[in-house]
Amino acid sequence: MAQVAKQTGLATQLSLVIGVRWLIFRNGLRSRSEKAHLAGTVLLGFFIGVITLGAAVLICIGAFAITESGNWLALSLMFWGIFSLWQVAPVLAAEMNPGFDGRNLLRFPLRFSAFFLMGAAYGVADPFALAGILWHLAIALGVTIARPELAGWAALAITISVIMNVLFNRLVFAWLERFLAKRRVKEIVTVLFVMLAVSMQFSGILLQRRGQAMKNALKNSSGVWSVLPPALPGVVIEDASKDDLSGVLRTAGLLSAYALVFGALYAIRVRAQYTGEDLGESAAPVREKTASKRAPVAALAIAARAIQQEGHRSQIVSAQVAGIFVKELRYFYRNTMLMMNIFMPLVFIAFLSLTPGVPRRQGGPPFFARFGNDFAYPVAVVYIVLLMMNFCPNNLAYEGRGIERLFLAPIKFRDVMLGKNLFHGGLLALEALMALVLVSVLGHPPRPVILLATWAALLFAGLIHLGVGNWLSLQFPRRFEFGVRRQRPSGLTMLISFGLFFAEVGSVAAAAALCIWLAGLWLLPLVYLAMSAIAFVIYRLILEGTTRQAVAQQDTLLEQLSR
Amino acid sequence: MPEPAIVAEGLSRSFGNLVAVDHVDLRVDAGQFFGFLGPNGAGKSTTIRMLTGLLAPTSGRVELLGLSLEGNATEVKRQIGVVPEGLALFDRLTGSEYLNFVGRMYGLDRATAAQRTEELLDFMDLADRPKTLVVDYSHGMKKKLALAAAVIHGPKILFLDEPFEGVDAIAAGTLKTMLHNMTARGATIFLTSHVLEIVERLCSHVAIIQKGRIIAQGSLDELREGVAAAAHMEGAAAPEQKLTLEEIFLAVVGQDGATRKSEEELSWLK
Repeated sequence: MAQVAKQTGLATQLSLVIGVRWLIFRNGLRSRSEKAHLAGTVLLGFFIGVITLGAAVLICIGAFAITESGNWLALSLMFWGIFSLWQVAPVLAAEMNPGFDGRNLLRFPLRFSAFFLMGAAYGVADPFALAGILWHLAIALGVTIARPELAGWAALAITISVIMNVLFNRLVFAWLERFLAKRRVKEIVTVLFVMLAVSMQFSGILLQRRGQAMKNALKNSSGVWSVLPPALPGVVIEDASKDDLSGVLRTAGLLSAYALVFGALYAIRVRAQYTGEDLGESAAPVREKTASKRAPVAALAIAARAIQQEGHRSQIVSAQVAGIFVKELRYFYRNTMLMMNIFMPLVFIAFLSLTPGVPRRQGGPPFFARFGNDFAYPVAVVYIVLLMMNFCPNNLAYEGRGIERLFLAPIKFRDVMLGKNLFHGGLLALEALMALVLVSVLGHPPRPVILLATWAALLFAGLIHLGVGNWLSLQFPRRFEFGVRRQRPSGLTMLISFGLFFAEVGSVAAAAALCIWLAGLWLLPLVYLAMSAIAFVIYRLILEGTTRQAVAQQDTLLEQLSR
Repeated sequence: MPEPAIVAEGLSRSFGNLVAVDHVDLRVDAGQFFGFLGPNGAGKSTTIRMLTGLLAPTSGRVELLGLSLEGNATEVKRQIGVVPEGLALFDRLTGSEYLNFVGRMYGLDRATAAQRTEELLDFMDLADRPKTLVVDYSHGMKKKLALAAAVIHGPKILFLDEPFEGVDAIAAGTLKTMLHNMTARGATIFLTSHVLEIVERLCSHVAIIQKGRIIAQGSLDELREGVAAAAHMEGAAAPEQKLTLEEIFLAVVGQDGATRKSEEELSWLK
């Protein structure tokens, strides 16, 4: 019988894990893209380092000034600020995807203590944590320079605070991971974060209108937030400055107790992972859809059925094209990030209508005052075209391994692209109608000639974008995952798309200026329709070429999309 | 002589310096249940990908049902069904939606696609979770769904890459019956599997590929005779019992060395 090896010590296990991480990192650098990524990270790290160091100098000066003046409430607020950045920024930056999954190591006889420490250590290695630690040190330095006798207490306060912050950060990540294990929840939370980021744009308005009231509320509630963990290191230093030893011990003890509680709660999660918890991906609840809840989708579903029926009865579109259209619709309403795109332009229009600082004329909201009633709708449609670019230039992004089915089926890629274009075109039209309703409600409906010209220009821009988008999708495909933010098409795709957008806007604006100068607004819809006819020819040419292009690009498409 | 359903001549595929498939010649007659075997990395999946049009060969030609794949891809694809290595599923559709979609892609009208979808889901025991997305299926369920998708249009040739891996014994039995019925009605099945007992039970003809080259091809009896003749030439006694496919396979791919290796080395495992 073979002899079984002895259990290794904690230090050996930790060094082995660090070693394997290093090997993974080093081997990753074999590819050119990883080397470029490292170079970019180092460059970015340098700039962020300079900013962090600058902030540390300011914090040190601030802590010095606060200690000199004895405004201890401000010191607690400073700790609160660091805590907020340390805890919130990594969650937003990590896009809800925890980096290192220690559960891969559970197949080995790993000690619980090693597993726990690795998880906690991963929290310290986070750039925001490193910045937080540096800023803690800056506070201690500022306090020490101002009152050298407080150095020991400041060191004690920041040590416990750093431990508390690390454990709280790991706790948040561990529970977020558990909470976000369900795909649908992950997508919804991601959308909430995006909405939160967008709503930050409104904070200026809020501060302008309610700034004083918020300041008062902050002061009045200081009794509450100053006993919460982030403020306590400041209170420890304050008590020490007053030679209140019992106060120092009580507050430091309370802060330590908080750290212990966070550590214990974190240990519960780690223990669950250690004992083999597999969060996996569980089935999302699927409810019956009601017309009222999903009006835009319902409208598209009716269109889908109509196309299917039409396709069956009169062969306007083939069964394959109808099939692709329906599949696109299903993928659309199951993809929260894509769904959000349909509301974003409307949110932006509402946001612009609320932005202060633009003089109000004609009694309407500022957006309408700035552009005049005639141009509000065309500008809104430009926003829509800009945001709808998310769909067109990488329209195979979500196919995954399904792309193989498209190559195995007796279908021409022209039909695949046509099905997708019909769906995206329908979405664009629906969005334009919704924007029209919004503009009409918030301001005034546009004059008929403006409305016709806008729709004709939209047809022109839409056809160009869909056509070029088809070519780009086949030429530079990039796989996207459901529910994950910050996924971008290839750099070249982005560049061409933006170039195209500005060329379209430029040509539409130039045509408008020329028409108004030569004849008048009445000519504009006709000119745009003529431009749309040319765009249609271009679109058709590209579309007919997609079957050949897909065959030529088959290896790239399968490799990029189904890996 | 029966009509050939699958013909490959001089089929090769290189990836950089690596020759994955090297001048493969294959002939599979209509109605045959054909097993395509080989060790890991021998070139089985690459060959299937080329036969089904998923991968362009570096050289050589493929003919299915008398039609060259090059130039008649759409017509050929209409008549074949494939369960590829990656299963080719759209994971954000439900099983029913996926089968309907595939049916429509193969040109079935809506009513027929819906009817066949219902029958296939029922047959594969997938009907009890109609609203579950494919992404939430187990591996075995995904495999069954991929099989259902491969047959929804009634193909004349069926290419199956490891179809029974991860499928439970009951479902595997049902599938085998279905596949036998298909060959009885004249369909041709091209199967790769590492489970040699299954191949032996199902297939009448077999080809073995190693390092990208076909090293044996024929009916099971022909392969048995070949192995026995080779053993005889080396002075070994003729086997008393009929050789199993596993014994044929091991003899053909040269397993003797591997057995010696495991006997001589890793002594600390004993």
